[in-house]
Amino acid sequence: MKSKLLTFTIIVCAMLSIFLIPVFAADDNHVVDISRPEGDEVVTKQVFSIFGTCIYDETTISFEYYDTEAGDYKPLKTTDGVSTFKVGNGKMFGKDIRLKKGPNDIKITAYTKETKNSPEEFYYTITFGEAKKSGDWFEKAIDWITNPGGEKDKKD
Amino acid sequence: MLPSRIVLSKGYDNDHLIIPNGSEEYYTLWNGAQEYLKAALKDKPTRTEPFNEEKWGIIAANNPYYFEFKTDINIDIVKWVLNIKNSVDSVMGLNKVAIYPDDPENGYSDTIYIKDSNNIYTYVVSGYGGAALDQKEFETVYESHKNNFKIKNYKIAIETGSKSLLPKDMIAPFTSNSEEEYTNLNSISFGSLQGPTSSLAEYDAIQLELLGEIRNDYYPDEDVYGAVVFKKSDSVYRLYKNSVIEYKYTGNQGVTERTRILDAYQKAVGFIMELKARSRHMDNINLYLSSVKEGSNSFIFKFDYSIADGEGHGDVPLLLKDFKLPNSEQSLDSAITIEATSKRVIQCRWVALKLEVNKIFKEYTWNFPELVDRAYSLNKELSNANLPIRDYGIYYVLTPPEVNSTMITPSFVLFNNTGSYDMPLDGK
Repeated sequence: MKSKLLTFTIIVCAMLSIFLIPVFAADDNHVVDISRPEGDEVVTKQVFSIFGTCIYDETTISFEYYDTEAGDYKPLKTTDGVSTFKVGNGKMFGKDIRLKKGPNDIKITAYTKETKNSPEEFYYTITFGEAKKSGDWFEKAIDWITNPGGEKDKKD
Repeated sequence: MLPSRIVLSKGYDNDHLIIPNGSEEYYTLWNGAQEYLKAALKDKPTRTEPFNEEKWGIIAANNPYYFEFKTDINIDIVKWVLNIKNSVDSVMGLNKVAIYPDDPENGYSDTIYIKDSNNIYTYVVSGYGGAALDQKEFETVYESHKNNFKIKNYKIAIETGSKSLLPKDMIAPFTSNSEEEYTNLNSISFGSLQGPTSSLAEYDAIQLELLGEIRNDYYPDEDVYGAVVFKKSDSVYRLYKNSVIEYKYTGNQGVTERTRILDAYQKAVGFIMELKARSRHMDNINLYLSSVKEGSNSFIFKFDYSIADGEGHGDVPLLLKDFKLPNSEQSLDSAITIEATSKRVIQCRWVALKLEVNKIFKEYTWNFPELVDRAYSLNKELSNANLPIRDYGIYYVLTPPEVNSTMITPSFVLFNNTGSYDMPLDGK
């Protein structure tokens, strides 16, 4: 009975070391909440806006995209022409990026002076596709006739 | 009752244009919106649901027309302004309205969303046969403003993500810069009071400016604070040195019947209209109802100034700071604070300024996150408070030392629950 209890304890400790420790470690370098993208997104506009709110003052943010030919992440310039920028006391940032057609694998890295050696990383796939709907009300009406069940309050 | 902001939207994640207040299109769109509101308020709402910030943000971003007021407008006032005789009183008032004419997702009916402080009301109206805000009108206004105006990369805060801490229907340039033009403001105090006034000629000059005529029934005087006083049997005017004018009814209130808000509002508006008509300096000033509070048997209405920048640029609101009465520590936070009963105005305090814009336009480039960053860096109080941002705006900011100033430039102003924080915009 004792040996079974010991084995159970060892297993539990091993599981904790696998799951909990990385969680705590991740919390240590948590410096930004990304509010947009909200997970992987499919969009119909070429310019996509990334937003976030930093937890601390003076946070450095970097954007990268996955270059399939190079097999690695490369700096992704915003429409302002920067790929790395600092967010100060106001803590919020909003930047536009230009998407290529199809899936865009994007990496956002964030760190403060204290977490520079273990930056926080976010990975998203933003798929830029054809517009589902035109802004024209007549075409929306046709769309409504052919698909009358659509919800009004969806983010289309 | 004028909307403080009208926004045209191409939909969620698409372009949003702010129509300059006071422009021709502003009045066209507001007149059109009134037609839809009239049609909606005749019936019960199709749906009533408790206010949800995220849901309202999506409504603001999705719908072609969006109208904001500075405060809740009581339904009795709305009905009076819109000349609605018969209505189903399901709504207590309104502070924001979104309109989707010929909404394909509601069977081509016009959809009107009304928000008050508690609920969102959805009206699907089929009885309005007009086309005041139809797609043709939308495209005409949209194209004219998109082509004629400087770049305004505005987004609605819900588009920055549902986890964003900003009010979800706030509209601002959240990513790229917005390039905007503003002129400078000149201000001159009322009566140009600098020192003690004792000559009859000076009293007459002030009276002429204040009352539009020299009246024998108002006896001129000065009080212990150096304010010029015009007194008669049932009322008194005081002009303080910081250009604040105070009116008080001092007569008998008579039988006190319960004050109805509409009666009080009509008395207040009538009083202000007289002021405007008498003054040579209020032609270019628009007034927006910014707050309504119920007193013991009266209502207190506050109005804010906006000044027309001219040449289709719309009007720019004024933020008045630290204007106080000599015997009070409390600042007047609005241009006009007026208390009225069903019978009369019993008190009015207004910051009386001669305001003019010089119509030399200067370009200002700004975006919201960068200015918030600067505001937090410059202002430790703001940084330490760590309170969510409630609102923001571009204002001309005036404090008492500046009542006789020229070249007041526009400022970026942040509002949270503790107050307002301003800093001048950097112009080119």
